Amino acid sequence: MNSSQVIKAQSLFANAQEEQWIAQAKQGSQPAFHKLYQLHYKRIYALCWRMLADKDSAEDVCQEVFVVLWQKINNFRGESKFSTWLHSVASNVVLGHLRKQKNWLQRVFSIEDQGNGGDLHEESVPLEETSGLEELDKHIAKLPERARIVFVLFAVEGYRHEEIASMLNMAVGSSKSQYHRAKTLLKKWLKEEDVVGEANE
Amino acid sequence: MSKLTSEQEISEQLLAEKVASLPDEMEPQRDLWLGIERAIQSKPQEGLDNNQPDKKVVHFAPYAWAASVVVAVLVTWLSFKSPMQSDKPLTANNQITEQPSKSTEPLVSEKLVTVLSDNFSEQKQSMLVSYGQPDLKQLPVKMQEQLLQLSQARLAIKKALKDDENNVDLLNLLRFTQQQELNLLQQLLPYSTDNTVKLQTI
Repeated sequence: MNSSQVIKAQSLFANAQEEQWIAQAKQGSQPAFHKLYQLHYKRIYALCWRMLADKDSAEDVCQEVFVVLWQKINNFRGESKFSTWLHSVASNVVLGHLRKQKNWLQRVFSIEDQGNGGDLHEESVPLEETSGLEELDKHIAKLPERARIVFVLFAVEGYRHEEIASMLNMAVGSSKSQYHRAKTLLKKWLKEEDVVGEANE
Repeated sequence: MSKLTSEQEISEQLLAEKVASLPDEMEPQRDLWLGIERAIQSKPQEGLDNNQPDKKVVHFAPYAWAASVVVAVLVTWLSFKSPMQSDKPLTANNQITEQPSKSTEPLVSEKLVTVLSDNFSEQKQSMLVSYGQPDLKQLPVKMQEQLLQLSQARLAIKKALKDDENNVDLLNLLRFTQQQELNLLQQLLPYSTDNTVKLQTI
């Protein structure tokens, strides 16, 4: 066997192993569910962090994702890859969390969505939370909430604007304009950083 | 104007590159599993009847998958193996003809194959005996098919190992296939109570 065949075989075995864990978790096996958690939690946490731009919320919501996964794993029919299905579960849990949070804020402060989706200001993320992050991740965290969510779902997670519009209950055009807004801001910040970098040199 | 367009293209490209190089994974600072474990203790799973577990429900999908994986890997391996190996003369019993330069080395893995096979046979036999030697013909058709596929895969691997006795990947594949077969046999337990006919060899 050459190395590519070995890699292919290893990948097939890994998939078979994951299939087994899924089947066992569906039967209520917590050890198998723990294996699935270990396989996926870092990716799910990355998704939560990027969408929420807050470490504590991301950790809490990541936990919630896996609790929901435990409850709904029998809904997974194997029609798509498990990781794809899990990411859609995670995206919906994050959006549900944001809606709950927003409803609470609206009740307390009577804030209402205005203009283009209630983006009131750029996020201010504590410095210690972004240390060790990629340059782009730091900028994504600074984006206004809706622009950030649309950008992450479209550019990082690979959803189509139609899907995002449906998930966020907005028009397809709004999703596109939020994406455009995010891109404009990110490019501006990357350019500014580039200029500062050149000046320092 | 053209300078502006060019700058826009560069920043667009830079952004695309940065997005492509974003890490897929991030590590949370605290251990999230403890909280999840606590939470799921009290959360029932949707679609799972926790009160009346149906002993007859057997999930074949993983075993079907395992058999397919084994067959796929074998087919790939057999297609790509070197002409040198495929041209080795075989005897009537599928034994490689005597090659003096290899007289001592292969003995180790040949023994390993024998040990693996013997272990498997013992485990399988004792498992079937402990289940009261169930009649395999009374099993669901799908389960019979899976058992047949796995045993065929196991035999094919053993045959392939005769051509390439030191191949660690094949040895691992054999071990994996045998384990899948044993796992599937474990599912025989629900059928062990009302058996009437004696065991047949799979």
